[in-house]
Order: sequence, then structure tokens, then C-alpha cells
Amino acid sequence: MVGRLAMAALVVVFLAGAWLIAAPFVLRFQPSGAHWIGASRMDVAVGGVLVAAGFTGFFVALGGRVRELYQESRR
Amino acid sequence: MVPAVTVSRVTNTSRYLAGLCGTALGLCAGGWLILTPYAFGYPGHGRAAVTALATGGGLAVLCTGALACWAILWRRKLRADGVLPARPTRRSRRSARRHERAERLVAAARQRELEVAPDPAQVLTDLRALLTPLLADSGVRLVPAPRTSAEPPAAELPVTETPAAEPPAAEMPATETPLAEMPVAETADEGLSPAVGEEAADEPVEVPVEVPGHLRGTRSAAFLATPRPAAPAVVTLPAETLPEDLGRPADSLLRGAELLMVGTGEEEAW
Repeated sequence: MVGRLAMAALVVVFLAGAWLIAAPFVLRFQPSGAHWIGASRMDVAVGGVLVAAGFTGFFVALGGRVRELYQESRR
Repeated sequence: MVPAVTVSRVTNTSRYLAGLCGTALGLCAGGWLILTPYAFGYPGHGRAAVTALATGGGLAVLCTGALACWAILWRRKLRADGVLPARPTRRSRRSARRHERAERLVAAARQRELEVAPDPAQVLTDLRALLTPLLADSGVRLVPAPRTSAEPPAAELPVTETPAAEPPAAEMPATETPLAEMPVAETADEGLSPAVGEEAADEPVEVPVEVPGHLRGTRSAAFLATPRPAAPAVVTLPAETLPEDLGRPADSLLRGAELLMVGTGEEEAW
């Protein structure tokens, strides 16, 4: 249960990053065709970091869990 | 060559480290998103500020919980691998206390029992010594106790219930007749044999012999269900082959005491 919650949290981090990247365009506080405002740059930058962290963390944790399952099945 | 256990621990460590790093990064990002509207002068209630505050707050709360989850998982794994000592739970502590209390009670009860309970063998010996004079007065012959090395022979026993008409088995003259050729008591019991009175030395002695094992041969109480014959089986045996203390009929009281001891499981002590 705790392990699933932790994995789900990594997925949520990834989704939050994706939402931060898309938010300036979805909420239209970044006018299209104009230079990016500071808030848009900040949201996209933080969103990108979160997407990368969530993606990497989730798959590394998933790979470790699969490896543990393999080791337990060999015993 | 790295052992497999070490390799598995390393990979598990990377797994938990990845989870911890991902959530810690999410926590830092959430905190940063909360601060950016104030740091960069966003409009107070604009969409960008609301988005940053809401997303940052949610991320911070979520990543705090996720960080705790990964820490718990890692500590569990370290405990399972034996790196961290096992923490006694409240339940195990309570169970240990109950176990210790029960052991104390059992030890105290055992000590009290040892102080109070008499030796069953001593009880039987006292009972025999108490009943022997009574039975001797009533003319009932006794079943002697099985001889041990510490006991004196039957001839030295103080109580001699054997009537004068029947000489003890030890005093009977020896015969060279093998046991298998000895006549059975029913045939010799008639008293009309021509050998009676003529060759007393060669005549087999009629001694009532208890069938061994029917009193304390087994622990089963099957012999209680089947009524025993009134008189024991009589087998004629040569005098030399008989032990000195054999050849006396059993009395009911001592037999009852033996049955009691057998029934209560004190057979070995007897």
C-alpha cells in the first residue's frame, strides 16, 4: 500500500509538471505570438524539471521493484 | 566478484534513492512555485499566480507525503535485510510481558508442587508397610514386591505369611526336570497321583503364580473391563526355577494400590 502510494506520487509529480508546461497556453495568460512573459517561462521551466524528475523517478523505482520481484522469485 | 546480496542491496538502494530524489525535487518545485508570484511580482490575483500557488501547494503537500512513504519503504527494506535492528512493536512487547508473567507463574506452581507432592514410591512403600501387618493378621497371603538389588531376599523379610504346611519355594528340593516337561497344576492338583508321598523330592511344587503383566504390564485399563478369575492361574514349576519371593497370592488391597498407581501414570516411579 505504501509502495503504491509512493509510486502514485511520482506519477502525480510527472502530471503536475505536464500541467505546468501546458498551463500558460491552456489558461491563456500567455498571448499567442507574443514574447513569453516571466510567469510562462517559469511555469514551463519548473514543469519541465518536474516532468523529467517524475518520469525518471517512476521508471527507476519501477525497475527496482521488478528486479526485487525477480530476486524473490528465484529464492 | 560481488556477492548477489550486495548487488541486490545496491539496486534496491538506487530504487529508493530515485523515489526519494524525485519526490524531494517535487517538494522543492512546489515550494518554488508558491514563492514565484511574490518573488517576480505577478499580479495579485491573476491566472498565472493562482496557477503557481495552487500547483505549488498541491505539489508540496503531495511530495511531503510521498517523501514519507519512500522513507518508510526504505527503512522497511533495511530492517528486512538486517541492516537496521528490528523494532519491537507494542504488541510484541505486550506479548513478551504476558509470556514472562506466565513463565513466572508456572515456575512458582512447579516449585510449590515439588514442595508438597509426596514421592509416589514412598507412598506405596508406606502403604505396604501399613497393610502388611493387617493382612498377616487376617491370614491373607501377600504378593511380594518385585525384588530389587537393594531389597533383602524373601527369606529375610520380617513378615512371613507362608503357612507352615507349605514350605517356601526356596526350601523345596531341586529337580532336574526341565520347565517344559513340568505337569500343569490341573493335572497334578488331583492329589491322587501315585507319586505323592513317595518321591517328595521329585514332585513338582504347586505354586500359584501371578501371570506377569496383568497388573502393570501395560498402561491400558482393559483388564478392568474383563473380570479377573478368582484364583490366579496355577502353574507347577520346579522349586529352583522360582524366585524366592514368588509364589504368594495377591491381595486385593495392594493390587488396588498398584492399579491406582498404574492408572495415574506413576508406573515408572513404582
